[in-house]
Amino acid sequence: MTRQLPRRLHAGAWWLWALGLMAVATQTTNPLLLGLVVAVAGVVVASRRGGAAWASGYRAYLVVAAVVVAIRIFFRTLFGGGAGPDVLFHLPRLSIPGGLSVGGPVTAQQVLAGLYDGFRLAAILVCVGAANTLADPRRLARSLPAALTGVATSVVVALSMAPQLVESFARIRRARKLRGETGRGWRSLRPLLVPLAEETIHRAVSLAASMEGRGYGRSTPANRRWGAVASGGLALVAAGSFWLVSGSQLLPAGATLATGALFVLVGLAGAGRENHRTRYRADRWERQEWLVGLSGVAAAAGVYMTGALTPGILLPQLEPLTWPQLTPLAAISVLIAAIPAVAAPPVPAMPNLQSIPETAP
Amino acid sequence: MISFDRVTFAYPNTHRPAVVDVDLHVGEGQLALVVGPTGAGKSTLLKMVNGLVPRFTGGTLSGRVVVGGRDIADHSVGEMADLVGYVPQDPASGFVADTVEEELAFTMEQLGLDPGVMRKRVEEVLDLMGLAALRSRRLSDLSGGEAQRVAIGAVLTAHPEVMVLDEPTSALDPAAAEEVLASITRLVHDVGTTVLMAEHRLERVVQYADQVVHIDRTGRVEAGEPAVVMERSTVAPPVVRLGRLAGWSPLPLSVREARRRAPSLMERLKAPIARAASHGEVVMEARDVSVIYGDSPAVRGVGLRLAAGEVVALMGRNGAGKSSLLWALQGAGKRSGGRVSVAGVDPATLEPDEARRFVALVPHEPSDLLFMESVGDECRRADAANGSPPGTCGAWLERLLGRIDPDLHPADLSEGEKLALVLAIQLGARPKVVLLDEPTRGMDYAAKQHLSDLIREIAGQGTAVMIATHDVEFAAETAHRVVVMADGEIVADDRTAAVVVSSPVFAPQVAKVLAGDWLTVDDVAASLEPA
Repeated sequence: MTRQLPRRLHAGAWWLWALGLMAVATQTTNPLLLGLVVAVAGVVVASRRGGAAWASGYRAYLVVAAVVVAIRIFFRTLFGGGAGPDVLFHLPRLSIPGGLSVGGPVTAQQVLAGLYDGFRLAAILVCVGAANTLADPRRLARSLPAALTGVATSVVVALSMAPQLVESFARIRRARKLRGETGRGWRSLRPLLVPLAEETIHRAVSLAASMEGRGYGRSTPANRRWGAVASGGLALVAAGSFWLVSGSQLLPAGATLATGALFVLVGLAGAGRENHRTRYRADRWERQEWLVGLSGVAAAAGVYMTGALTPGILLPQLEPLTWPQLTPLAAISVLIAAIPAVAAPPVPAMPNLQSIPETAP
Repeated sequence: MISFDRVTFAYPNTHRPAVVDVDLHVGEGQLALVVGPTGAGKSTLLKMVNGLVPRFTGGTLSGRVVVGGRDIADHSVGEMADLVGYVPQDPASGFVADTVEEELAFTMEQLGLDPGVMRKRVEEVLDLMGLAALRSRRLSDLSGGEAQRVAIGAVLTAHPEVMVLDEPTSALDPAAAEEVLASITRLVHDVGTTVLMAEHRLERVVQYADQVVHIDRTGRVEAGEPAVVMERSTVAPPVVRLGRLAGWSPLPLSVREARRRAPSLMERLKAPIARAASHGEVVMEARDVSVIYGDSPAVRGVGLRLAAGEVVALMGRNGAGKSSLLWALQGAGKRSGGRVSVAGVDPATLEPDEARRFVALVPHEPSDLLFMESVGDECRRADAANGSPPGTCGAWLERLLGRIDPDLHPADLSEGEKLALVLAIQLGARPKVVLLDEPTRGMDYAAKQHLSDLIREIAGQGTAVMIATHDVEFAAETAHRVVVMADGEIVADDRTAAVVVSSPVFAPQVAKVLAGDWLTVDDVAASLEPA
């Protein structure tokens, strides 16, 4: 077997994979299954994460996820109102005008419902974090359909501006001391915000000039015509979905939705064909991309089937209290999503990046 | 290639046009240099080449600007992108991508070039501009010289026939400037690109120009042979001023040309007049100061003494630790080790509003310190904060700038004027030591001369002044002593003449020409025997 060439996987593949895992998480409150999702995401991130700056944020997602679980349990405990038979302990009860009450008996059902619910949200968060860590969000924007490259470029530029803003803020905050302006309260914000706003506006204007000077937005009238087709389609889609959700006339609603979708596709394709921009070293979609993306889809599909065959597995009962169960199908489905940990191409080594944390100008 | 035909342009809501009646023709493969005092309309002229003026700024343009057969009146800025590559004054402000490679490809992506062509051209430009080692670096991690070369490379990939560069070396240390200029001349010589370039530091570039375009303060333009235009130019590098002083004709533009004629001048010179070295008492003593960011040291165990009345220039390449040292000495910046004592007090232990009464720092970006609605408000706030009688800051400002409308908004001031305002604010606190970080950026020769005189005057009143600067001519003019830093350490610390004359990088032009202890044209004038 030949060795896999280290390369960056298409950002879309990682997002498809993560969406699959997220679809698993939304379908279930089974803590065993959710734990498996988090574990799978963790294993893949650990083995296929790059060394770039945007790839170092995974820990933050984990922390936020843990906080979400804690908050969820806390509120259920406090406001749960003692639903369920198995009382664990009593909290002093406090009545608030308006029929609300805080405290009182705390049941195992309450706490577990908080845990399960929070865990589900946390697992989804962890999946988003994994996608963000594995694929540069900027690269995803660069891979949007050709018709949207204009929008994509703006998004990429905006994303690149954010760290500069943070840097300017730090610099100006430090400079404030030189003038002895260290007062507290909102008045002290002025020395901070005025130079920052000035610099930001100045930078935005020069950036716009630079982009223009380098040929951004050489759009043709034909391009705009296709854009109008797509926007019209989008409006139909919106109207159709609203109609559909209101649930009265399914057939005409569905037809509107389908027509709208068709218009959007035609518009995008037309604009894409007449788009004269190209992409430098565009990410390719190859066998490994299929493998990674489909592993996520397979997990979602497997868990969906579990739900159809054995509904009790996905939403474990709380009354009476039972230990959550797993079936081989559910477990194996989620484990399929761990395949990228070995099957995705290894990440190319980053060149020795010099990190300059607090750059002196 | 570039032709301006009776072009007059006025910005909206102004009474006076920025440029008047310009007739200018730059042939293919020529390097034309735009010179003139600050605010004379150099940038305006450059931006007209691809239509950023007036399309981006508004205003009224009369006459015709035709570049490579395209009239800017009929083509949008974007449509000129394949023909004209424009590199703005601050290259980092124009970066759109994340990494060097993506930045280089951006223009080509917009022009819709074939991916295969793009790949090849990126590799070519990486080599041409010496960027191969930086290809996957993040743009925010580049040094000034690297960023400038990336910015040039980024427009170069589109193979423009015309390059427009606005002060490409103004923020660079002498060595990095040489590198950038070498890249630009290589483009002109090897690729045949037409280059239109504005620059304040003529000593760096004038010898490379085929044509010099001079704009004066009224917006009138004169273009012609460099040696001819420099005869009457309101801005002139030291070597030209030396030539004028000695009455040489045609004027020398490079050190090499001047050196051939130097012997005749040397015969007429007395020994250089030694500068009065100051021997005031030591007001600042720093011992073993170090600054460490993360695990990379920026300043390593620096010891330094500043005496009252002394002007010291702090030199060294970008990233040598000059700014970090200034901030550490002031006390507002990070200091990882060592001791600083100003009149027996460590400024870092004081509250910020106390510390600035001992050490005042004018930072690299003076506008960071300006936040009021008008110049007058800034001054009033400064006087109140300094506890000085009303009008103190205003009086300093008038000495620095002459009369200035107190209702002006600080954002409307030029770089030099902002610097003067911040300096006036800081001087109001009567500090014992004044530190300036790169004060001459964007200043013309007259403004620099004025600043130099003022710094001497401030020092004459018993203040110690230290200036971090890349400008060797300014340092030669102003400083009693030069301290050179490299890699966070001090590598030279001596009288100005002793440090700069022997250095190939830091020697001012006059010292290179005359190979003696004369540093500036004024030095030479003072020791010139009447003919």
